[in-house]
Amino acid sequence: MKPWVPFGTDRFQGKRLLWYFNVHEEEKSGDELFPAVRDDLADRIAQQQEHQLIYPARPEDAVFIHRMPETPYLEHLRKLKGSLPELICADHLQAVPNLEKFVLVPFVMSTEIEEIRRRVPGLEVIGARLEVSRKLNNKYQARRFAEQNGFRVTTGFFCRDASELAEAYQKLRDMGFNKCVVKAPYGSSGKGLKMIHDPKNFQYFLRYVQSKKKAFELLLEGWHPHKISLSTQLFISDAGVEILAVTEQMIDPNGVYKGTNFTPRLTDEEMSLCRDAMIKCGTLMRRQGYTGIAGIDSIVDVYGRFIPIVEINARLTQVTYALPLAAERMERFRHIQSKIVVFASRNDLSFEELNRDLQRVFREENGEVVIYNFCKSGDANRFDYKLFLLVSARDRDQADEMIRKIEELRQKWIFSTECVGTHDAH
Amino acid sequence: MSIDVQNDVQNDEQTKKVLGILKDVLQLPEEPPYDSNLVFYGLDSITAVNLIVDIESEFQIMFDNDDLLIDNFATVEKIVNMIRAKQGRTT
Repeated sequence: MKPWVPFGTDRFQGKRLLWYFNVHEEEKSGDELFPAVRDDLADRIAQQQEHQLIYPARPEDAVFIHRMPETPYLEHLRKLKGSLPELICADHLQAVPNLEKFVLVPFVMSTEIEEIRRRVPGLEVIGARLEVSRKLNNKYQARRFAEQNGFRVTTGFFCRDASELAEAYQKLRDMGFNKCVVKAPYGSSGKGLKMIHDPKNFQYFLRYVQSKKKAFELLLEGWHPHKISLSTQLFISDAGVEILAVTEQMIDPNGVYKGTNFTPRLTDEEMSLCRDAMIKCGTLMRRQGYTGIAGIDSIVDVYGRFIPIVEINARLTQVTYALPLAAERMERFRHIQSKIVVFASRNDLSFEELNRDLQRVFREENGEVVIYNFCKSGDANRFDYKLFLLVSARDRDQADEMIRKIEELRQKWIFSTECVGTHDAH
Repeated sequence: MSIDVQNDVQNDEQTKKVLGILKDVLQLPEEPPYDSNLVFYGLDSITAVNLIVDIESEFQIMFDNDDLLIDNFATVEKIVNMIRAKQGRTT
């Protein structure tokens, strides 16, 4: 696999990059209007996503991980990548010897990273100052940033009490929005979003908010029916703003991210609008002091209107990790998309069993399905799994059919009383 | 729990409401089985937020932060028991 690093190596004076998935330090809203439900198994799963950093890393780089993958999965990663970067396994980043010799590439800027930067003189970090990335990651600030700079935004209102919420909801209904979304300032992959599907849903939410009897600020937006939901990956540096990829986001009805189409079909006009707006947005972010990788979410609504900034992710994103794998497959396939498969089961299934099931189902297909990240955690009651799959096909129809078969497998993995993977004797 | 007792519980008004809320929140074609682990039916930290909002509003109760563990919402029985405890009733 060709090494893929979106920035020149010459500026690092021969230093190695150290990739660090500090997802646990991502900003959380911390307001009790959105109850935070604790799920220890899910937290452990989230941390295992750090293995994906091997894809953007160059062979001479290092990736910091908290737990070494099991051997069969590690071998699979080695085959997929060609040659692996060094994997440095420890509990804390500060346990890495000679940290100052690396250039650190964190998932997101955080208080911990700022602290490490202060304590380790000479450590270079690819990322903006914390207050800059924190501001851009805040959905409310990002909306205001977009409005102030003349970008079209989604229809929505900031509300500070129940009556403002009720009024805003009525206005959105009158404008024709059947579905709305309440956004908290922080939260990714569907966290910090409350979808309002109908007036009954809204009444429940209103009653819930009133019962909390506390001051708040909430953003209520109409859910724009869209033709396509886009995510543009930018690399912003002193040298300028570079568009790394324009991809389509697959979002479920609750606003939860389900995967990325790396080969979206956009008209020339849509692509040109998107590129111009993203360069403008990146330039403005740079002027605010932002550097590093960022993902900007946009939509083209069903009326063909382009809304450039729905959300800013001033950090690495799912696209960052899988893009090198997808780029490599673009020479062989016309449609490439990632698919996140999440399930819980009583069955203790190994990577090998799940992979064997998948390969058996797709043996006769002309497409390809690859597990590029395997996450699993378990306790006495259940095992949780999160598989990141890359589906490569000749066209979207074939990919849809492959995804339908993956869903059938998922149901089998959840409900089968036996380990499905053990049936294949060949 | 005997089958008769389980049937009585399932026909209880509160349980029916909880099953209806779960069907909506988890977007299931039908109500989930009474004694199944709801995590297998899509309950996670994201869908649980909707579940909590709907249950607190419907039953006019408030969960404490310590209640907000996914395992406490993992079966219909656990949810109904928590509602009853909050309302000062026991099973």
